[in-house]
Amino acid sequence: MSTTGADKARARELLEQGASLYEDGNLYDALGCWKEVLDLDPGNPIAEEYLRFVRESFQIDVDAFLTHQEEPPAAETLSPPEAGLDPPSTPGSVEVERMDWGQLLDEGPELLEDVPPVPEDLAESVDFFVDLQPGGLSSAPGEGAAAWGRQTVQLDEQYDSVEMSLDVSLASLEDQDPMTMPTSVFAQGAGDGKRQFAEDSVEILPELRDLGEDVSTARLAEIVRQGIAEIEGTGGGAGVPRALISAPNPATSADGLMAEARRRQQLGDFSGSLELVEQVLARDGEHEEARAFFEENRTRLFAMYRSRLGNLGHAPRVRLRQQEIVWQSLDHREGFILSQIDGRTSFEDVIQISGMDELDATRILARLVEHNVIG
Amino acid sequence: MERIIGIDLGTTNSCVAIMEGGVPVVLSNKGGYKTTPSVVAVSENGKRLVGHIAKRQAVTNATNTVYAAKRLMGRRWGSPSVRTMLETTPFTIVEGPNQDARVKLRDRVYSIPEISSIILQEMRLIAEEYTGEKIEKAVVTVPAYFNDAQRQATKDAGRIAGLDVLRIINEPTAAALAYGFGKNIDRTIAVYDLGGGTFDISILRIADGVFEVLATGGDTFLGGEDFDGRIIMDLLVLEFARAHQIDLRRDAMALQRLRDAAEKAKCELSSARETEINLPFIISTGGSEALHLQQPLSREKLEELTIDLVERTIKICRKTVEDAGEEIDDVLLVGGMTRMPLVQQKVKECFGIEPLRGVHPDEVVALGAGIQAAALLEDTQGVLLLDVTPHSLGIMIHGGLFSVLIPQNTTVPTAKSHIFTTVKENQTQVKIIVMQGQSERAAENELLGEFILTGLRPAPKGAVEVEVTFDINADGIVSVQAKNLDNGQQQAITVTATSGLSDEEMQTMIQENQDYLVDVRSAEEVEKTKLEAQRALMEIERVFPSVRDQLGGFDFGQDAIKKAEGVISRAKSAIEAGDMSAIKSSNEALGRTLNMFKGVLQRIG
Repeated sequence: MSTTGADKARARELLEQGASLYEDGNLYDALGCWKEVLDLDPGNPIAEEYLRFVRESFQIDVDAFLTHQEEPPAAETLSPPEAGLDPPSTPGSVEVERMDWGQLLDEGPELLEDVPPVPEDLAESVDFFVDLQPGGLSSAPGEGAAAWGRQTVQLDEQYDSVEMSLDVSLASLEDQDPMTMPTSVFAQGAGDGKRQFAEDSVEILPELRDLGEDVSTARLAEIVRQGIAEIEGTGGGAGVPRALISAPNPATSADGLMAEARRRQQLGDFSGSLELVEQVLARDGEHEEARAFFEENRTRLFAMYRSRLGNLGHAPRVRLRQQEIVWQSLDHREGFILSQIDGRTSFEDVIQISGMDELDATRILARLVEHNVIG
Repeated sequence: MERIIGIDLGTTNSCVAIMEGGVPVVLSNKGGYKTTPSVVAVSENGKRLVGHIAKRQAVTNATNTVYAAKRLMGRRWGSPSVRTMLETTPFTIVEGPNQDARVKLRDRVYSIPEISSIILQEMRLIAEEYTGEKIEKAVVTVPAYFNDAQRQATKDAGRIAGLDVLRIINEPTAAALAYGFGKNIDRTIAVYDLGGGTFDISILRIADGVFEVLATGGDTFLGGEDFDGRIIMDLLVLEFARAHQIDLRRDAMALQRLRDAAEKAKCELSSARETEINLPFIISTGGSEALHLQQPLSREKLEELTIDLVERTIKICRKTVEDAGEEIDDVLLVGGMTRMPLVQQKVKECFGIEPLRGVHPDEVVALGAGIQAAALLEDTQGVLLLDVTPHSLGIMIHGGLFSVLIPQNTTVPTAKSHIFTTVKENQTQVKIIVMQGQSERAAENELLGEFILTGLRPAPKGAVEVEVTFDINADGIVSVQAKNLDNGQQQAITVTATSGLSDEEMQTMIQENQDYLVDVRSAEEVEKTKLEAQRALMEIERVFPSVRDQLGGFDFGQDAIKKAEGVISRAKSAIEAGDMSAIKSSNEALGRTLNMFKGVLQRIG
């Protein structure tokens, strides 16, 4: 079967859609999208890479998983063993069974016997913090600046979903979030707070210690990213799955990052490529090729997100009732965009009034449309 | 038929009205709202935003959003209003070339009349949309206390917006007109106007079609936004901080949502006794969690939070009524805030009479302007306001005092003379300092101009007489002449109110505005054409699989499919590039392709 231009365009869209679904924690639909890409464009390397990543990370048979999802297991089976998000057993770590928290909470405490590592009063999420507290930037606690990064892996009520985010902050030691503990990896639930998960990450910090107080957030972000990659590389953050976006080993030099960015762009992974060139630009804002790639990736992503929105002059409405909205998994930026939807304001105007980067606002709208929250 | 619109150019909201079949009607904007926020912004990509859309991004794009520009209208750099604005507004105010205040949005500096012209233009477009005709003339309202410079600046704003402002009328006068106070009435009324950003109280005496302003008072920094502020600060932010130890004010998006929600809740509590503020996902915590804000608010609680603000307006009312020195026959309520039951109750208590509230308080001023506009067109309405001088005019005399030649509220045209004498021994010249204002102390009034009359005969003080004449013509232009009665020698100046804009600047701004309108219209046309192309493309792509099945088996069919694919691909490229002529030609090709496809499907069908 030959692949037409239209097929390729659709395949690119599906790749992005799959990545977006994956980021939202919807593994099942994400896999569906990538499988569809292979139907349209057999041998598409990026779809194969994504599927391989999922197979290896979660130790699952994708076809069986998809089939299984269509026929849910009996209640006592909790989860299919092949679909488990079982972290490798590491000394000092807490093993987290793959499980459906929503189901657990709904169906009663007797099922909790099957999930010993997680206390029953945990709510629907478990977070893992990789804390990069340097401790070397100020002479005494409470003085000067401290930096830390946080990588969050969230298992929400759909146990197969994984969401990762990275925050880097500058703050005085006194202002630290009490949940953030130095040089450790924690599993944290909304219930009783934190559980130690693994101890590692100290070794990645010497570079931070050498930085002055005027270090930029972008530079910190880059260092923290590298640090996290190192943790993942050493297996120190056992049980912390690598983010999909960083599935290939991240290149550390600008040339390496650019090479990977080029490859990603050729494969149609524009958001992956954009993220890499942003790293290059954080180091060198004048990098010409990175700037060109930055613009091109943004243009392509704009086109894709906009095609999902359709007519930008359309004034969308909220499709959910107030009480349903609070059950969505949104952050405050998405919450803000959602609050601007009133059936009178067009997509274009919402983007204008958001005060956000245009691409970010368009991406959020596209996601809200995809998830049927607005339309 | 030529139409003249009436515009209420407000500090916080603006409104436009027109006479329809003998009845004034307020016109709705594109969003269906009858008032439009007087807010102008420039977005990150350089797009000009006006009205609701500009207001809704006012917090997230604070430095590039101008609100309440009216407070700066006709004000000199260094005046108290400008100084207060400099301290309180997030947008940048800079000094203009003529000692006027200007604002900076992104990398461009705008004069205040230019900002107001953007709002007036929006009003004009609303009226043009409604009437389907080009509108070129308007009556615009201003506060009763506006001086000549501020009135002139308002007229200049109209000119930039392509509007000939035929008449500037006082807001309380317009409100009185809307309530039917006209030619055959002899009453003293109080107009209590509590808007979004300012509070004005005006006492008018209406007799024989002349609306005389007896006294005005107010606070240009007190309005509905302060009421919203209490809900935000003293309730929402405080309670949220108590519950979560998070200060919502630090997040621009959260603050914008708080403002919108507070205003909405306040409005709801004018009719309901209780409401609930619901803001899901208001802020994200350090982790992956987003918090919701849910806060009930009762009318009693709102009154408790804002009672001191209402009391402040009442205190000003009492003083203004005292200044006017007349019994009040009627009280009119103007401005959205007067819907608040507590405000109505306190006003009633203050004046001892039930306020009139038959006309929508947000629309009443625009309706009055619309009535006056129609009256200017043909005097069949029985209403014709006479122009009066808004302030007293006179000269500064010995001792720093202000000698009034033309008192406030004198109908124009008019001329008045007065004879002055020298105050020093052997004085050979006099300086005539022309001023306007209400204070007896010259320093507290506004300087309009000055000149020197020389060649006086050296003589003992008081021996030489100089006659000073003020003349105001029908266009409001003031001429001042000083004549040495000894020898007939004279000197004169003409005072023309200026908004701080030179003629050259005005011409440039008018041209720029016209160019802007052309750009906007052509961008709209591109969008429309693009939309047509996108619709045709969607339709073609929908039926393409069936057509392919039908035609794919034949050579000619394959050829047709190939051509159609070419048309689709060219149309997509043209849309992506935004190339107007290419999109237009694509539209024709898409139309032909669609017709052909439909023909094929009909044959199958």
